[in-house]
Amino acid sequence: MLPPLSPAVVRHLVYPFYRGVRKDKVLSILEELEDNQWLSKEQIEEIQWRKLKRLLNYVSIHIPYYRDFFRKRGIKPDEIENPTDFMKIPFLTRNVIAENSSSLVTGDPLIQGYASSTGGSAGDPLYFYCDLAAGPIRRANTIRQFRYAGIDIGDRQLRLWGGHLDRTRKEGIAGRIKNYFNNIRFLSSFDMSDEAMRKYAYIEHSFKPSLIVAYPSALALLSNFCKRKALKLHKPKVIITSGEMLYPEQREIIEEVFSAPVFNRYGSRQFSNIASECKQHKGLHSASDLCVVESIHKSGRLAKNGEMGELVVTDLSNYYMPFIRYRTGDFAVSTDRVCGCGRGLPLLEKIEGRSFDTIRTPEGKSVGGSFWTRLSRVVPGINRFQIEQKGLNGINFRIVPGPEWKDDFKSVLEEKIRTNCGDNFNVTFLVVDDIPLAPSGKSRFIIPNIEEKLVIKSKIHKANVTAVEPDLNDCLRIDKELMELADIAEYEKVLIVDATNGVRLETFAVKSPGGKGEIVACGAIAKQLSTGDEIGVMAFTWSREKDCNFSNILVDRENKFERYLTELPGQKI
Amino acid sequence: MKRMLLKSMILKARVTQADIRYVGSITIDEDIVEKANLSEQENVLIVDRTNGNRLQTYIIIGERGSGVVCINGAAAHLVNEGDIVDIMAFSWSTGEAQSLFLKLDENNHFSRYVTTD
Repeated sequence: MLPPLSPAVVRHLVYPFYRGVRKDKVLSILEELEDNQWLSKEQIEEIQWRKLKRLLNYVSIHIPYYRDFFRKRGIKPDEIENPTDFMKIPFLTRNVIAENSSSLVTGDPLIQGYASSTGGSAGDPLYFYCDLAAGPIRRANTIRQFRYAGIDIGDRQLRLWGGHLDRTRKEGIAGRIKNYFNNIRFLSSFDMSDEAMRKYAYIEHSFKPSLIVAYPSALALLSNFCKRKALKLHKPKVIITSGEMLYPEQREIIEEVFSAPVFNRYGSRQFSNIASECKQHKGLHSASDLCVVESIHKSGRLAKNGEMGELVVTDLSNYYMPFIRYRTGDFAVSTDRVCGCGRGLPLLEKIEGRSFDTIRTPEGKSVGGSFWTRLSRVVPGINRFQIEQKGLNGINFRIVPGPEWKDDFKSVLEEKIRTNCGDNFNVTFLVVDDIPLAPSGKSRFIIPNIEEKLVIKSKIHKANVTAVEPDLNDCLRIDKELMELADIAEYEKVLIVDATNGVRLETFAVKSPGGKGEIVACGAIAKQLSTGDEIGVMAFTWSREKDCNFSNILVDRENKFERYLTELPGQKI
Repeated sequence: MKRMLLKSMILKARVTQADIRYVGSITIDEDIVEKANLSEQENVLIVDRTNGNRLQTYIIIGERGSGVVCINGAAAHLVNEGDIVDIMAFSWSTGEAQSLFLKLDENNHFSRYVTTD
């Protein structure tokens, strides 16, 4: 192995030369992004809004899914003028992408894209496309965020990561050469055996990285191992954790063992890096000149200052397959606090990973990851662990033991769990050799029990029965366009609720040629519904997801689409 | 084989509002929704112990601790303010049912889990 290059050589010669050969604009984009971050909140919002308008205009012409949306809704992208208007655009979810993958891709020959996918730690991998032109922007943003922590191009980086494996395999020797000239070394988070960790510690000590980038679970594991074995480590300048939720206990052990500050970063394969901590360590600055991060309260409105909300992200640079209002399933507290570092980029606080990664107690309490990570350190000898919910009243506690582990510790752990989760909580300990990682190489130490529940997915509000046809077969005929807007399929079972006479009944929907606002009660239901009745039409689905996309539409007196609704308690229309 | 099994049943809730002019479905105190292992948008069967009416709708989350149980919109034809209702939800699962029965106090606040009615 060749000796590492000097950071200055990489920063001033190799990297600019390489970017010059690639003829991309990473360095000039970086300059622009560097300038943006110091602008005022209002100036950054102006940039964000300008880019969003451009994207919305583009998708209304070139992306079939959104072209249909704008046409059917009868609105123009220009009419979206503020964050409340923006909420008219429906959420993008994994399911919407899976079902509309071809109509979400641009037909514009000038835009090039490449295929990508998520690692699948949240379930099945999500397959999607990125804009080729977004690559340099993402690279520049990553460098900008490195600089928050005082790291620059060329500084030696050690990455303890999973996702690179597929990529380096593809790039083979070229990838390795590239990493060498970028001063980057990769360690695989897939192999965290004692033997591998001993090797990683040795590499860390000899490579002397300025920066370690890692999944928090993997690096915490390595930290514990190095502490236990009293292995000699090099003290890096900073550590960046990413890809998973960072728990306080993980931060503590990593900072203790490596004697370096941890900077938390939040991102995903779909968006690259969204937000990153600065030296203040009081929240993460989101790159709001490159994306829109909305925080949606569980009642459906925008979360207020200090409230927890689901992060819904729009990528302002992906024109090939736009991600507009994508539900990440991650939660954070939004704040309008101005950061002491002087950056105008807004802050996100307390980013919490996937909301469903909690264990439910018999008393209805949700016990999140922090409790379990703390618990795993109450006794020595737990190398790795996993908590899996079993029914409503208990868990399987899997433990990969270290040399210090004793079976007597089970009772200590059990007592702590009972104190927190109640006396009726059943704990089954399983001491195992290994706990498999998710395909992405990330750890999942909480496996919640997710049952299928019946949830509403479609509703047409305040529709009027235009005719009754008692001689036809039983069904409700609905204007085809309304069915599409409300996401009701031909022959789908619907619940009709009559606001005029209080009748509620079930039948199925049949498409009526679009545009005329027809809603016809056919067959036996015509005995209970009359022309002119005001009705609601609902359809439900069995869902395992925490939140299912809800197409809830309001129509006017002529049954013409008016707008999507977000229902709030005690609302009058 | 998958079966539809009773997942949760909120016993004897008092209807705090029933108004046709407001947007429909059932609004339930967030605390009760959590304790019953339910969620926003979830389908529920409401049975009115006062007048015998039965209806299906879905949940909107109401203010935590408010004790709100509000049945608005078209459903208000069948339920009146002050009525006593049971609220049930079902899950689609294999294995044995693990049903939760929730008893409320007179202010519609969670009191305790019970085994049977």
